[in-house]
Amino acid sequence: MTARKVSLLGILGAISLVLGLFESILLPDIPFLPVGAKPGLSNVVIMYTAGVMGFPGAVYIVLIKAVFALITRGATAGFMSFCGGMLSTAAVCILIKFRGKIFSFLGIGVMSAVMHNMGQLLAACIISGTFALLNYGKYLLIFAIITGAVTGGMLLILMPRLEKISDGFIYK
Amino acid sequence: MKVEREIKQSVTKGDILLIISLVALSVFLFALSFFGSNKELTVRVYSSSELVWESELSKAQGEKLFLDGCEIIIEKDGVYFSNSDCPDQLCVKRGKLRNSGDTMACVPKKVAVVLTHSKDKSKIDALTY
Repeated sequence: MTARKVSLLGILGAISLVLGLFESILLPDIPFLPVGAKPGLSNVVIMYTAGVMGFPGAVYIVLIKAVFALITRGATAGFMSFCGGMLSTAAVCILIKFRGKIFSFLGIGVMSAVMHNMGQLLAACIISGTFALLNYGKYLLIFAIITGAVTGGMLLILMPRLEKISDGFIYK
Repeated sequence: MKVEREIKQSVTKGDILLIISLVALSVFLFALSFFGSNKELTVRVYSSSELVWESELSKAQGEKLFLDGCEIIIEKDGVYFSNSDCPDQLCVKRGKLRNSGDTMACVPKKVAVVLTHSKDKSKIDALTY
Protein backbone atom coordinates (compact mmCIF):
# COMPACT_ATOMS: atom_id res chain seq x y z
CA MET A 1 0.00 0.00 0.00
CA THR A 2 1.55 3.23 -1.12
CA ALA A 3 1.53 6.49 0.84
CA ARG A 4 -0.76 7.98 -1.80
CA LYS A 5 -3.30 5.19 -1.29
CA VAL A 6 -3.18 5.47 2.50
CA SER A 7 -3.72 9.21 2.48
CA LEU A 8 -6.53 9.02 -0.06
CA LEU A 9 -8.28 6.32 2.00
CA GLY A 10 -7.89 8.49 5.10
CA ILE A 11 -9.48 11.46 3.38
CA LEU A 12 -12.31 9.38 1.90
CA GLY A 13 -12.97 7.73 5.27
CA ALA A 14 -13.15 11.14 6.96
CA ILE A 15 -15.52 12.47 4.28
CA SER A 16 -17.83 9.47 4.67
CA LEU A 17 -17.96 9.96 8.46
CA VAL A 18 -18.70 13.67 8.14
CA LEU A 19 -21.45 13.03 5.58
CA GLY A 20 -22.95 10.38 7.88
CA LEU A 21 -22.84 12.78 10.84
CA PHE A 22 -24.27 15.56 8.71
CA GLU A 23 -27.35 13.58 7.78
CA SER A 24 -27.96 12.14 11.25
CA ILE A 25 -27.49 15.40 13.19
CA LEU A 26 -28.40 18.23 10.87
CA LEU A 27 -31.28 16.64 8.97
CA PRO A 28 -34.36 16.51 11.22
CA ASP A 29 -36.77 13.60 11.29
CA ILE A 30 -38.99 14.30 8.33
CA PRO A 31 -42.61 13.21 8.77
CA PHE A 32 -44.07 10.62 6.36
CA LEU A 33 -40.64 9.16 5.75
CA PRO A 34 -39.84 5.68 7.07
CA VAL A 35 -38.22 5.74 10.49
CA GLY A 36 -34.50 5.21 10.44
CA ALA A 37 -34.22 6.00 6.74
CA LYS A 38 -31.40 8.33 5.80
CA PRO A 39 -30.34 9.80 2.46
CA GLY A 40 -27.13 7.74 2.49
CA LEU A 41 -24.84 10.52 1.27
CA SER A 42 -21.75 8.59 2.35
CA ASN A 43 -22.73 6.01 -0.24
CA VAL A 44 -21.32 8.45 -2.80
CA VAL A 45 -17.93 8.03 -1.13
CA ILE A 46 -18.21 4.23 -1.02
CA MET A 47 -19.17 4.04 -4.70
CA TYR A 48 -16.31 6.38 -5.64
CA THR A 49 -13.85 4.32 -3.61
CA ALA A 50 -15.15 1.13 -5.22
CA GLY A 51 -14.58 2.78 -8.59
CA VAL A 52 -11.00 3.93 -8.07
CA MET A 53 -9.68 1.40 -5.54
CA GLY A 54 -11.86 -1.67 -5.97
CA PHE A 55 -13.40 -3.89 -3.31
CA PRO A 56 -10.64 -3.71 -0.62
CA GLY A 57 -10.68 0.10 -0.52
CA ALA A 58 -14.47 0.24 -0.31
CA VAL A 59 -14.51 -2.37 2.49
CA TYR A 60 -12.06 -0.18 4.39
CA ILE A 61 -14.55 2.72 4.26
CA VAL A 62 -17.38 0.38 5.36
CA LEU A 63 -15.27 -0.76 8.33
CA ILE A 64 -14.45 2.83 9.34
CA LYS A 65 -18.16 3.68 9.28
CA ALA A 66 -19.14 0.54 11.21
CA VAL A 67 -16.49 1.07 13.91
CA PHE A 68 -17.53 4.72 14.23
CA ALA A 69 -21.17 3.67 14.64
CA LEU A 70 -20.10 1.02 17.17
CA ILE A 71 -18.25 3.59 19.27
CA THR A 72 -20.80 6.39 19.06
CA ARG A 73 -24.14 4.56 18.87
CA GLY A 74 -23.54 1.10 20.29
CA ALA A 75 -23.23 -2.51 19.15
CA THR A 76 -26.60 -2.74 17.39
CA ALA A 77 -25.90 0.30 15.23
CA GLY A 78 -22.39 -0.95 14.46
CA PHE A 79 -23.59 -4.39 13.37
CA MET A 80 -26.38 -2.92 11.24
CA SER A 81 -24.00 -0.44 9.61
CA PHE A 82 -21.58 -3.28 8.85
CA CYS A 83 -24.23 -5.60 7.35
CA GLY A 84 -25.78 -2.87 5.20
CA GLY A 85 -22.41 -1.55 4.09
CA MET A 86 -20.96 -4.94 3.15
CA LEU A 87 -23.99 -6.03 1.13
CA SER A 88 -24.21 -2.74 -0.76
CA THR A 89 -20.44 -2.64 -1.35
CA ALA A 90 -20.48 -6.17 -2.74
CA ALA A 91 -23.30 -5.19 -5.12
CA VAL A 92 -21.51 -2.00 -6.19
CA CYS A 93 -18.21 -3.80 -6.85
CA ILE A 94 -19.91 -6.41 -9.03
CA LEU A 95 -22.01 -3.89 -10.97
CA ILE A 96 -19.20 -1.36 -11.41
CA LYS A 97 -17.33 -3.86 -13.58
CA PHE A 98 -20.12 -3.45 -16.13
CA ARG A 99 -20.37 0.31 -15.68
CA GLY A 100 -21.79 1.90 -18.82
CA LYS A 101 -22.86 -1.45 -20.28
CA ILE A 102 -25.67 -2.65 -18.01
CA PHE A 103 -26.02 0.15 -15.47
CA SER A 104 -24.59 3.64 -15.18
CA PHE A 105 -23.94 5.11 -11.75
CA LEU A 106 -27.67 5.88 -11.56
CA GLY A 107 -28.60 2.17 -11.50
CA ILE A 108 -25.58 1.31 -9.37
CA GLY A 109 -26.67 3.94 -6.82
CA VAL A 110 -30.23 2.59 -6.69
CA MET A 111 -28.99 -1.00 -6.35
CA SER A 112 -26.54 0.06 -3.66
CA ALA A 113 -29.22 1.85 -1.63
CA VAL A 114 -31.65 -1.07 -1.92
CA MET A 115 -28.95 -3.55 -0.89
CA HIS A 116 -27.90 -1.33 2.01
CA ASN A 117 -31.46 -1.36 3.33
CA MET A 118 -31.77 -5.10 2.77
CA GLY A 119 -28.57 -5.71 4.73
CA GLN A 120 -29.69 -3.52 7.60
CA LEU A 121 -33.13 -5.07 7.69
CA LEU A 122 -31.64 -8.57 7.69
CA ALA A 123 -29.34 -7.51 10.53
CA ALA A 124 -32.37 -6.23 12.47
CA CYS A 125 -34.14 -9.55 11.83
CA ILE A 126 -31.13 -11.53 13.00
CA ILE A 127 -30.66 -9.45 16.18
CA SER A 128 -34.33 -9.41 17.14
CA GLY A 129 -34.99 -12.93 15.81
CA THR A 130 -38.25 -11.77 14.21
CA PHE A 131 -38.27 -12.17 10.45
CA ALA A 132 -41.70 -10.54 10.16
CA LEU A 133 -39.74 -7.28 10.28
CA LEU A 134 -38.93 -7.83 6.59
CA ASN A 135 -42.38 -6.38 5.99
CA TYR A 136 -40.93 -2.97 6.80
CA GLY A 137 -38.84 -3.36 3.65
CA LYS A 138 -41.65 -2.14 1.43
CA TYR A 139 -41.48 1.31 3.04
CA LEU A 140 -37.71 1.36 2.81
CA LEU A 141 -37.75 0.17 -0.82
CA ILE A 142 -39.55 3.24 -2.15
CA PHE A 143 -37.26 5.51 -0.20
CA ALA A 144 -34.17 3.62 -1.39
CA ILE A 145 -35.13 4.03 -5.05
CA ILE A 146 -35.30 7.80 -4.58
CA THR A 147 -32.19 8.27 -2.44
CA GLY A 148 -30.23 5.78 -4.55
CA ALA A 149 -31.12 7.69 -7.70
CA VAL A 150 -30.03 10.95 -6.05
CA THR A 151 -26.68 9.66 -4.77
CA GLY A 152 -26.05 7.71 -7.97
CA GLY A 153 -26.95 10.79 -10.00
CA MET A 154 -24.44 12.84 -8.00
CA LEU A 155 -21.68 10.42 -8.88
CA LEU A 156 -22.83 10.24 -12.49
CA ILE A 157 -22.07 13.96 -12.77
CA LEU A 158 -19.03 14.00 -10.46
CA MET A 159 -17.15 10.93 -11.68
CA PRO A 160 -16.02 12.20 -15.12
CA ARG A 161 -14.74 15.39 -13.44
CA LEU A 162 -13.00 13.53 -10.62
CA GLU A 163 -11.37 11.21 -13.12
CA LYS A 164 -10.12 14.25 -15.04
CA ILE A 165 -8.42 15.87 -12.05
CA SER A 166 -6.86 12.61 -10.88
CA ASP A 167 -4.96 12.38 -14.23
CA GLY A 168 -6.52 9.02 -14.91
CA PHE A 169 -4.68 7.68 -11.86
CA ILE A 170 -6.51 4.56 -10.82
CA TYR A 171 -5.40 3.17 -7.49
CA LYS A 172 -6.28 -0.46 -8.00
CA MET B 1 -27.01 22.37 -20.64
CA LYS B 2 -23.84 20.38 -20.71
CA VAL B 3 -24.61 18.40 -17.55
CA GLU B 4 -28.07 17.50 -18.79
CA ARG B 5 -26.65 16.16 -22.03
CA GLU B 6 -24.04 14.19 -20.09
CA ILE B 7 -26.70 12.57 -17.94
CA LYS B 8 -28.84 11.70 -20.94
CA GLN B 9 -25.86 10.12 -22.66
CA SER B 10 -24.69 8.05 -19.73
CA VAL B 11 -27.99 6.71 -18.36
CA THR B 12 -28.48 3.20 -19.75
CA LYS B 13 -31.56 1.15 -20.57
CA GLY B 14 -30.63 -1.07 -17.64
CA ASP B 15 -30.99 1.87 -15.24
CA ILE B 16 -34.48 2.66 -16.46
CA LEU B 17 -35.52 -1.00 -16.39
CA LEU B 18 -34.13 -1.44 -12.87
CA ILE B 19 -35.95 1.60 -11.51
CA ILE B 20 -39.24 0.68 -13.21
CA SER B 21 -39.10 -2.91 -11.95
CA LEU B 22 -38.28 -1.82 -8.39
CA VAL B 23 -41.16 0.69 -8.39
CA ALA B 24 -43.45 -2.07 -9.69
CA LEU B 25 -42.22 -4.39 -6.94
CA SER B 26 -42.97 -1.84 -4.22
CA VAL B 27 -46.42 -1.11 -5.65
CA PHE B 28 -47.07 -4.88 -5.64
CA LEU B 29 -45.92 -5.20 -2.01
CA PHE B 30 -48.19 -2.35 -0.95
CA ALA B 31 -51.13 -3.79 -2.88
CA LEU B 32 -50.67 -7.10 -1.04
CA SER B 33 -51.16 -5.46 2.33
CA PHE B 34 -54.44 -3.86 1.29
CA PHE B 35 -56.21 -7.21 0.96
CA GLY B 36 -58.72 -7.67 3.73
CA SER B 37 -57.57 -4.56 5.53
CA ASN B 38 -60.92 -4.17 7.29
CA LYS B 39 -60.78 -7.51 9.12
CA GLU B 40 -60.15 -7.99 12.81
CA LEU B 41 -56.52 -7.42 13.78
CA THR B 42 -54.35 -9.39 16.17
CA VAL B 43 -51.34 -8.01 18.03
CA ARG B 44 -48.38 -10.31 18.62
CA VAL B 45 -45.43 -9.29 20.75
CA TYR B 46 -42.13 -11.14 20.49
CA SER B 47 -39.14 -10.98 22.79
CA SER B 48 -35.93 -12.58 21.50
CA SER B 49 -38.03 -14.25 18.78
CA GLU B 50 -40.38 -15.91 21.29
CA LEU B 51 -44.05 -15.06 21.25
CA VAL B 52 -44.73 -13.58 24.69
CA TRP B 53 -48.09 -11.90 24.24
CA GLU B 54 -50.99 -12.19 21.79
CA SER B 55 -54.45 -10.69 21.70
CA GLU B 56 -57.05 -9.28 19.39
CA LEU B 57 -56.74 -5.55 19.09
CA SER B 58 -60.33 -4.82 20.07
CA LYS B 59 -60.09 -6.97 23.21
CA ALA B 60 -56.82 -5.46 24.42
CA GLN B 61 -57.76 -1.80 24.16
CA GLY B 62 -56.04 0.39 26.70
CA GLU B 63 -53.59 -2.28 27.80
CA LYS B 64 -49.99 -1.42 28.59
CA LEU B 65 -47.15 -3.92 28.30
CA PHE B 66 -43.75 -3.52 29.94
CA LEU B 67 -41.04 -5.64 28.41
CA ASP B 68 -37.23 -5.34 28.69
CA GLY B 69 -37.40 -1.58 29.25
CA CYS B 70 -39.94 -1.02 26.46
CA GLU B 71 -43.45 0.24 27.08
CA ILE B 72 -46.04 -0.83 24.51
CA ILE B 73 -49.51 0.72 24.48
CA ILE B 74 -52.49 -0.85 22.72
CA GLU B 75 -55.35 1.36 21.61
CA LYS B 76 -58.52 0.95 19.60
CA ASP B 77 -56.94 1.83 16.28
CA GLY B 78 -53.41 0.52 16.72
CA VAL B 79 -50.39 -0.26 18.82
CA TYR B 80 -47.22 1.72 19.52
CA PHE B 81 -44.06 1.97 21.59
CA SER B 82 -44.58 4.83 24.04
CA ASN B 83 -41.24 4.50 25.75
CA SER B 84 -37.96 2.65 25.55
CA ASP B 85 -34.61 3.04 27.27
CA CYS B 86 -32.66 2.24 24.09
CA PRO B 87 -30.30 4.88 22.63
CA ASP B 88 -31.79 5.73 19.24
CA GLN B 89 -35.55 5.64 20.03
CA LEU B 90 -36.41 4.47 16.51
CA CYS B 91 -39.17 2.26 17.92
CA VAL B 92 -40.84 5.26 19.57
CA LYS B 93 -40.47 7.42 16.45
CA ARG B 94 -42.04 4.65 14.36
CA GLY B 95 -45.45 5.73 15.63
CA LYS B 96 -48.61 3.70 15.65
CA LEU B 97 -49.14 0.48 13.69
CA ARG B 98 -52.62 0.39 12.18
CA ASN B 99 -52.52 -1.98 9.22
CA SER B 100 -52.31 -5.73 8.94
CA GLY B 101 -48.83 -7.01 8.23
CA ASP B 102 -47.14 -3.97 9.73
CA THR B 103 -44.25 -4.60 12.06
CA MET B 104 -42.04 -2.64 14.38
CA ALA B 105 -39.23 -3.48 16.71
CA CYS B 106 -36.90 -2.10 19.27
CA VAL B 107 -33.90 -3.89 17.80
CA PRO B 108 -31.41 -3.31 20.65
CA LYS B 109 -33.97 -4.72 23.14
CA LYS B 110 -35.01 -7.55 20.80
CA VAL B 111 -38.67 -6.67 21.24
CA ALA B 112 -40.85 -6.90 18.13
CA VAL B 113 -44.52 -6.16 17.53
CA VAL B 114 -46.46 -7.64 14.64
CA LEU B 115 -49.99 -6.72 13.59
CA THR B 116 -51.78 -9.41 11.57
CA HIS B 117 -55.24 -10.56 10.55
CA SER B 118 -57.07 -12.64 13.04
CA LYS B 119 -58.26 -15.94 11.65
CA ASP B 120 -61.37 -15.41 9.63
CA LYS B 121 -64.20 -15.45 12.16
CA SER B 122 -66.99 -15.38 9.61
CA LYS B 123 -66.52 -19.03 8.71
CA ILE B 124 -69.13 -21.20 10.33
CA ASP B 125 -67.72 -23.92 12.55
CA ALA B 126 -70.96 -25.81 13.14
CA LEU B 127 -74.66 -25.50 12.59
CA THR B 128 -77.37 -27.08 14.70
CA TYR B 129 -81.08 -27.12 14.26
